[in-house]
Amino acid sequence: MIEISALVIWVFLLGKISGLYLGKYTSVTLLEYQSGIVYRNGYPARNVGAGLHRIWSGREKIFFVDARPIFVNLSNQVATLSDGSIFVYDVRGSALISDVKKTLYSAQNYNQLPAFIMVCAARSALNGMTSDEIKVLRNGITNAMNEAVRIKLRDAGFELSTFQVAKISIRPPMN
Amino acid sequence: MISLTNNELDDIASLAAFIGILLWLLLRLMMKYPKRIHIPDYQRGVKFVGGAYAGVTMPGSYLTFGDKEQINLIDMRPYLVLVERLTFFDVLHAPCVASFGAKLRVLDPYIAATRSKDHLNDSIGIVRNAALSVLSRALIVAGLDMRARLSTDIKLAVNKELLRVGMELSEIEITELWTDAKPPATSVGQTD
Repeated sequence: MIEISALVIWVFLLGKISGLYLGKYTSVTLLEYQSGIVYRNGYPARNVGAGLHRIWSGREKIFFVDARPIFVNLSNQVATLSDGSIFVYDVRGSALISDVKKTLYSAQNYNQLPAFIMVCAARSALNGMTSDEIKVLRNGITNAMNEAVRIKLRDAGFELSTFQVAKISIRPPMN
Repeated sequence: MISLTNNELDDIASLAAFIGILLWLLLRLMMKYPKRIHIPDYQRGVKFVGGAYAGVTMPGSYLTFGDKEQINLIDMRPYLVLVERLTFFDVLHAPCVASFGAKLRVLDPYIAATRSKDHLNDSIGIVRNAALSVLSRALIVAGLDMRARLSTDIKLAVNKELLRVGMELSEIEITELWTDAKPPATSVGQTD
């Protein structure tokens, strides 16, 4: 009887000590719009998609991102054109996460990255144009900056779905 | 050589197990439930033991014991910052407008964690002020060369200031630069 109780106690102790290292064997469920990476001892081990995933909580952890489209809708943006006119415009667009790892590492605030890239690309392109060029381009303004946005987003693990720079007004140079 | 009977061996085993349980309980009380912290490779942990700095922990899985140990996580990934439509006067007092997008990142996790309450928001103010200081001392002319030159100057000046909070400006892109400066008047040469 004593032998059995001693054995039970030793098994309990060994379990506790190994549990400190390995942790519990727990499960994490990712929803269909979530994608994640399993980190083992702080380094990425494998990508995981939707479903139930079992991990040792002592060594592993799942960091996941929301893979639903990120919409950008910024109204009344202002850019100064090269001739000094003030161009007021809207930026609209959406992007999807295509590479979880790239996205996760791209920025702390990666949810704002599509907006950041779209705003920067739009303002940078517009600053090099004159009001006459914009009048000629009309709705084709977006095409001029579409490729730059697409490439920058791809480098950050996003896929551009839609992008549009809509003109509101052009005001004469400030003086 | 001491020879023990089976009964004596059983007694020793159960005594050892009992002492083990006691030790376990004692450790558990001392540790106040160890807490597990996972540090992914894009973060660092600034460790404090008894309130004093005890080093930067690298990526991995760590146990912290009780209230004595504390690990503050610092994110090393870039942080995106947009500075829009800074209006200023250049060195010749011409009105100018500039906008830029930048990426900030932590250079020293210890300084970032200890020298500022909110290292990211504080850095944004520093970036804005240092950039404005560089821009207002420059002679602004339109053109891509000017943007590239100003980017380098702003980066240098900003990074000098950001060292205080353990941050650095890793990338900068000037997206808008406009000046109302009139073309210089034709100079009239003095004749003898």
